[in-house]
Amino acid sequence: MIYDADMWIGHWPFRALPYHSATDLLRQMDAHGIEKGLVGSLHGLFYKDSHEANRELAKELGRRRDRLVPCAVLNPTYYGWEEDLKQCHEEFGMPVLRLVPDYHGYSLADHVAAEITEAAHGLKMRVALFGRIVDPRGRHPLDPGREADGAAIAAFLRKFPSASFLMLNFADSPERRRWDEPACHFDIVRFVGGGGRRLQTLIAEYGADRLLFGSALLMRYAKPTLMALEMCDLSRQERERILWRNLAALVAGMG
Amino acid sequence: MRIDCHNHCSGVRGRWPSVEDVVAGMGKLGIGRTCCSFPITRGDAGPDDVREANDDILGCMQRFPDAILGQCFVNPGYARHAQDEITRCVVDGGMSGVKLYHQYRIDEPVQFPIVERCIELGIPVLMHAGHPTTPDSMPGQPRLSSGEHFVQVAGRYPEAMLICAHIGGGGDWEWQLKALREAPNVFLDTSGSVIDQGMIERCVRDLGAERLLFGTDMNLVRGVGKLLDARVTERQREKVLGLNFSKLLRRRRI
Repeated sequence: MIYDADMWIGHWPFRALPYHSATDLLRQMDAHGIEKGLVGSLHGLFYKDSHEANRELAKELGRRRDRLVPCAVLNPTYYGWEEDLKQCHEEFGMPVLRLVPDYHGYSLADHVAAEITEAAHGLKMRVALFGRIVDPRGRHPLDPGREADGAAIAAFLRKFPSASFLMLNFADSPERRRWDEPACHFDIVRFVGGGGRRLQTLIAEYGADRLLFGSALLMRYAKPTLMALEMCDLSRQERERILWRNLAALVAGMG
Repeated sequence: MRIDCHNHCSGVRGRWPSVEDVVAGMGKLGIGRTCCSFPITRGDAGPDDVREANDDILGCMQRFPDAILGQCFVNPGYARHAQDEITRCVVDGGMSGVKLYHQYRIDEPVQFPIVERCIELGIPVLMHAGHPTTPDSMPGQPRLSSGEHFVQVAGRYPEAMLICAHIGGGGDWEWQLKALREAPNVFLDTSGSVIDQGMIERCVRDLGAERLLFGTDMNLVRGVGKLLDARVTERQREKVLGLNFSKLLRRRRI
């Protein structure tokens, strides 16, 4: 069983992706033995009213909810996000809110970031933060995405000492050591270097309980992340925690 | 056999990845041979430093003769020394090719004697490359070679075996592909940390599998994984993973 914390469908405006739809994603998941995944809409990063992308996502995933779990993408600077967030949770059954400040024109230091996070926690939703969406070295000049600032992330997390965040697409960095509190859960998609050694080191440092499998499908190839995990020396229990148990526990009863 | 055309190692821990780790990773990933160099990426890259770097690689080759194929790093700005290093490391030391970094762009005249020597010896030239999309995206590399620079030098030397490094090394890989379509004698290595979905398929579509060379550039798992994941034919995959580079190595004249 593999439960993927980091998946997207939709189009990316700055590069032609080969696959876009829920059907495409399911084919990719089948090819890699991924049973289930948290899925967000890439359109939600770019629509003025990102909630329209949540509606589209909920409709597209439709009857595939057993495998594709929709995640909300909302802009806390946009009018009416409070009602939209409720609809995401109550009507669309979304267990996770993904925040993308670079793409929505605010920073994590802004009060709106804390407000929407508190609101999500109030609804018993998890909040996901991103180290980056794409590699900024090749970004389009109009792409506002950057590598997340470790100090800003750490300052934001300190406001929620008892919450668990999903930390997706983060890279190894000295700042990571500051994220010990609260109990953040990192996906492993960017820890595949060094012939599996980086991931092994991460597991030794954080423990298998803090890590999640994430592939960044349909943006990236999934095979390298799977291979890196295979190359690690892990017990069956540790492997299962990373592959699905940790994420299943994090979102249990939240959608 | 899988042959990695672009990697780095050192016999001294704390520099590039240790040769022991590289060889261990190769074993896990079914990589038979790996071309390793020790480019000097900062500062002057003067003769003493270059010689020491190449000595390190020669030592790695001696320790793992079946696994490590050396690449001779030279700084073309020190023209006489660069030629002497090629003699010492390639002709006498058995290294498989030349590695150039961003001390100069590939199309600058200072590179021409190096390219001509490699043509004479029948060996490939692996050139560090990339196309930053914004001024801040890849700072500190004002003489980074982009696809269009390869087009210029490939036209001047159609018989050269030029390898444009790491399509996944950061920067705009789509730009690189469009430019390299104009230089049919330039090869492209697939290394780098970028594993964008569809990248390998686009390389095959735009350049043909015959022009692609498997590489890792210290990203062993990503390097192998993206090739295994790509929707290409098994024959195309075999070509990229080793057959193409084997052909290049057979063109050696010494």
